[in-house]
Amino acid sequence: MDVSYVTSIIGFILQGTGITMKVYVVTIVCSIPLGILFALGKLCPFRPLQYLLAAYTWVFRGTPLLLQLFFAYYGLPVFGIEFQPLMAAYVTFVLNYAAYFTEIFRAGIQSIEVGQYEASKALGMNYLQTMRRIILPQATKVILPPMGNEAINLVKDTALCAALSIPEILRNAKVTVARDFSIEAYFVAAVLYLLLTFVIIRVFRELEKRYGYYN
Amino acid sequence: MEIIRIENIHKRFGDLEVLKGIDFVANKGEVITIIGSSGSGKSTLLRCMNHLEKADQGRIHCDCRIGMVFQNFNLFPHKSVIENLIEAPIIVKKIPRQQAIEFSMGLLAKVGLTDKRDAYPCQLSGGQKQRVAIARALAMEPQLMLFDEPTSALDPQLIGEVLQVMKKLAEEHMTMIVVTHEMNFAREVSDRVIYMDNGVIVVDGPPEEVLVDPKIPELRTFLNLDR
Ligand SMILES: Nc1ncnc2c1ncn2[C@@H]1O[C@H](COP(=O)(O)OP(=O)(O)O)[C@@H](O)[C@H]1O
Ligand SMILES: [Mg+2]
Repeated sequence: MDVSYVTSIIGFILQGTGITMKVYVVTIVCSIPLGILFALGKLCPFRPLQYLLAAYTWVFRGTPLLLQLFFAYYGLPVFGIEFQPLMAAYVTFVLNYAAYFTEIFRAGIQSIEVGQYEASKALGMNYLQTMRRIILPQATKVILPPMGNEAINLVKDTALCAALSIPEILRNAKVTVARDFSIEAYFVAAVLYLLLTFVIIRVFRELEKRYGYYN
Repeated sequence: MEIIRIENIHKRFGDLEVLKGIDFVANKGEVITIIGSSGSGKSTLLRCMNHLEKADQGRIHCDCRIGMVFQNFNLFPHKSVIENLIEAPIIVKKIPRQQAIEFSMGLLAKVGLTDKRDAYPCQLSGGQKQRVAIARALAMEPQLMLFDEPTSALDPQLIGEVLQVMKKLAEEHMTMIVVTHEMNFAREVSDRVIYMDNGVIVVDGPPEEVLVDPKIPELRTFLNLDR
């Protein structure tokens, strides 16, 4: 491999890393709170809300993310909603990942025994206090492994943004390959994805360690 | 002085009527044990008293704070012993943290677990867990303590330490309603024994009357007196 060639293309692909990380951070920051909210909604006894959220998670988990991206960018203008490509990606990724997080949080919250709710209530705590101080901290420990999986999936899913010509890692690599008739750019992209997932894996290992202080 | 008055409580789960009209009064400082076979509605009655279950019919008069101790402890596993104790006082009663810690350390001393203040529930024996659970309930300064089979989940050799703590509470004139199968505790510590069967209170009287040579055949069978 030609080192000087790789050095010459790396700056361009690194620019793509910036966009990739933007999509990543926006998705995580918005979809986690949304997921918690939707999970609590799914667990509340109001039936219509349950059905609505069930339909939501079914649609977003039951269709390809790429199709959802196309729909947001090419389909919504038919209904008078137009997004810039990056905005279409933000909206789609947030709603898609929030659907997965909803199910993960719901299962995590449901895994906590009723005795914890009863003890909290017997001590005079209300619903919000019980959730915030007793249930969610314990659910967090339970959901860390599946959340870690999703966090790694998201790194790779950001590559789908290339389909909307958003200049992220894969798109920039592809442009470089097409221009120079040389596949080194794909290797550079692969290394960048591996570095990103490596960081995510370490973050989750650290989080699991931090929550490992009790059984 | 009345601490809690219960009038004509009915509770059903689907087709099953679990409480069929319960009346009773607990006075300040009284220790009442409730006995009866499994499924007779003892837990449901306690849970109606502190509104973990909603009675279908009847009234519960109680202006006081009620503490509860569960068979399975229900300690908060992600919190240390001292954090288990101070959580509700800080969150619910808005007591300053330092003050809550000082008060709770006194309670840990009372249940003999001062040295476990920073341990987590998973590091404790069953008897220690239940003593922490008692201290946690006391941290809210209740006027009435409910115990739902507090020793039933314990290895036999650990039952004594929990009963000891409860006995000490009784001596300090805490009002207590205790569902238990520990007949010695019922006989020695309680002022009144209530025998429940099939969702009704069958007998309510002093322990010597209820536990020693009672007349009711079901109670005699329950106490194994006719063998
Ligand atoms: N949440 C519930 N749903 C349905 N049935 C219940 C529920 N809780 C208790 N029961 C039933 O009510 C009856 C009385 O239960 P319980 O009050 O726990 O009795 P005890 O504590 O005397 O053993 C039992 O038959 C039990 O199966
Ligand atoms: Mg019971």
